[in-house]
Amino acid sequence: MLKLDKVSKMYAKGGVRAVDGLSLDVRPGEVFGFIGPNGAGKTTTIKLITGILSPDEGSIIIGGVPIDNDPIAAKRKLGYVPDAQDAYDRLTGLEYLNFMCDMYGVSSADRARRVRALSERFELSGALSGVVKGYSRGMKQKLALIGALVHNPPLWILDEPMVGLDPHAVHVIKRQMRAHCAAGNTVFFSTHVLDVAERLCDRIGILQKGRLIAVGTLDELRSGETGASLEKVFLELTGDSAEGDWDE
Amino acid sequence: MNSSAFILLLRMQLRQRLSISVIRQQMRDKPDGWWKRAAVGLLAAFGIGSLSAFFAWMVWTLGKTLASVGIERLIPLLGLIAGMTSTLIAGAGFLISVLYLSRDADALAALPVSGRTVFAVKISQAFLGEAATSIPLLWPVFIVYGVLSGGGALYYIKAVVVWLCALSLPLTLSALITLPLMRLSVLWRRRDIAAVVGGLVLMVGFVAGEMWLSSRMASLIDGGVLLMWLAGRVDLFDRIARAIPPVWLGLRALTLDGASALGYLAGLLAVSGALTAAAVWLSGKIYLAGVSAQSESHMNTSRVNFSGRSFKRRAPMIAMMIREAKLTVRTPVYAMNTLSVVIVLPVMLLVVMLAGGSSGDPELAAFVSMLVRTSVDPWLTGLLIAAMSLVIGCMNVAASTAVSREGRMFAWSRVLPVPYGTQAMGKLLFALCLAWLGQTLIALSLRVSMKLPVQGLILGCLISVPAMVPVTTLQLAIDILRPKLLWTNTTEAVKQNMNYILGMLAALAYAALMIVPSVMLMTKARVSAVVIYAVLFAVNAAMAAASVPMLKRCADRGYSAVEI
Repeated sequence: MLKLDKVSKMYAKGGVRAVDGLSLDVRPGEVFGFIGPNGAGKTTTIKLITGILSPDEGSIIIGGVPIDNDPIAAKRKLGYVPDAQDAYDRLTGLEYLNFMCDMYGVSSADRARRVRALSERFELSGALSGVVKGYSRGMKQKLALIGALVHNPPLWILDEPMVGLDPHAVHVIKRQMRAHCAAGNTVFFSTHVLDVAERLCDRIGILQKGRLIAVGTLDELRSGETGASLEKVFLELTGDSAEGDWDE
Repeated sequence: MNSSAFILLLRMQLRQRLSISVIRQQMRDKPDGWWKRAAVGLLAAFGIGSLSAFFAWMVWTLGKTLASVGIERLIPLLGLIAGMTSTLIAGAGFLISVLYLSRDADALAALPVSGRTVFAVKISQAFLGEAATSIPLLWPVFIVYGVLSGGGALYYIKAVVVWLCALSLPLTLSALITLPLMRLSVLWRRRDIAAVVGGLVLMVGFVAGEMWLSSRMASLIDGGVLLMWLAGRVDLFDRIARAIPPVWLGLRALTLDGASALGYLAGLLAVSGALTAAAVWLSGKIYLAGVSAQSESHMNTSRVNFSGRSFKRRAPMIAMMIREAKLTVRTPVYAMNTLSVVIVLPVMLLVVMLAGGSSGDPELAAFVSMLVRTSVDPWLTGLLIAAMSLVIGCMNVAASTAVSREGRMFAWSRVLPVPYGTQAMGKLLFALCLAWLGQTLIALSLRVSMKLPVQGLILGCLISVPAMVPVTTLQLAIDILRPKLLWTNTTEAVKQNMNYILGMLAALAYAALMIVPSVMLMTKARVSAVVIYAVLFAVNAAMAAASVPMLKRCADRGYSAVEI
């Protein structure tokens, strides 16, 4: 469903190599978690997949469509939830969702049905008539989630989706991710919450300094260490030590 | 107030506002690209410079005329009244944006510094912005008066102090009005609409009222008689100036010599200091509460009708245009800046004409007289109306800041599965609708107020309707190629955006290229009007048709080049 082949990206403004020769193959029907320390290149990778940034080298294929050859067809296949809480503050929730439906070519009948189902699932239907400016952080996140799902994308990409959500909403999101995959679609998300990654993901990729240092199922990542937590594996692989004395 | 925190914050704000760190980094990372940035800066400086040189020449001409009858001090009097009034009105809007609508307002409020310090930093920032803007407007006035009255070094030192006070006084006065107003604004559910409508009404009322008063006055006495009348009414100026104490103090400080002038200067400084102290004191009481009040908003909880017409499907270009229109009209700063040019100017024209003619404004009077004279020739009238419409079209903020206004939301433009060209077309369509609306309103207001022939209006529209397409496209293309996406408040995105000036200059050049040779050919070379109109229409229609693929190519290039 998603294939990255030796993708590299250097920011022109800072001269920093944010993503370095990244190759990855995400299969249909799986939940793929993308983890890594701050500044590892997770958001940059997601921006490259969604077309916000263009890679300097390598290719990205979404659902069999190379994004550099046919960006419109490739983008139609994905739904994106950004990490920032930026939103069109002066639109109502419903206007925003209608706008997204127009952009993805969702028919009138389908949009009414999907908006209703998703807004009820995320408990936002009562607020859709209100202007986004008046939404809380969590409500904005829920709106972004619905906006990314209204066209039922084969590939759902989420950048730090749990940030700002209450436990109930986190539970709903996790169920939604599973349900989306069960319908034959793919979920690709980045997170810092290792517990979520551990419980939810079919496979996990660990990124450090723009390079993919490990990828596989949790068992494969443990590589024989029976019962080791993802946190322990993560800290070992990224060379970060939480052990030792912490002297003030 | 903590002075070291004030300096630190102000320095940080100015670095952010002037993009100093960004420029430094660009110079370091891309040293070979400096000439492009310098060329753009020089081009804008040339455009602004030529306009202020023209203004300075006008002030000099007026100053010499007034000096011939010994009333040259009318120059600083008018300059101070105009400077202070415009700072008072424009400053209120600017302050609301800087003080309350900045993205960093909440973050600054959370810092362990007092509300007074944050307020002082913000108002200093506004003061520096107003100071830079006022240089080409106020300094020609001071210099012309200095030359005419033979002022020495002391005069120019006094002029510097008067200039600074002429800005700080109205700005602090604006703050004293704004602070309680914004604190109370939480009581209004629809405060954005109130701000837009109130602002537009204030703008129309102020300019139309001023023009109506001057037309009334000038209808009594005009030309040389007016000059002699003015010369015999020196005491009248004193009365006018006394009615506005800061203007009176500034005027006396500039026009008198010796200790008495210094006394007035000290008085001006004292008033300015007292107002500043009052504003800072008041800010300590209510500023931060006003900031937090802005984040409270009315939530509409009415249920959505899932079976109704709320889910109508639209083509992406139309959806983009509608989104653009909603965001612009609902954001007070954008609405004020876009609607003021397109709607307010024609409405003002209508009000002035209906209220008493244009005799108070020499430039407007000359224009009106030309229109009336040429109204027997609808062909020439048509060209003049087209020129007028195009000049207003050249100031179309909706086009020249269309991409910049997206700010950080621009990332969505790259995610959406809609070609960049289509997205740009949606923006163009909205900007064009505004331009055509302004054009129609101008034609209607000229018809109602001056009874210009309908044929002339139709002929004018025949030229300006297609010409508006390349004019608007040109402005939009500049913003697509070099958008200003990093800003902390909406005013910065619109008013402190060089693309507005560059777009206006480019569009004005196009309009001049179309209209000026046509008028010359019609009046001097006596070329057939039908031929000129046919050529103009064909050229503009061709340019309009060429604009669409040009804009799409430009969008493909511009949208892909931006790294967010």
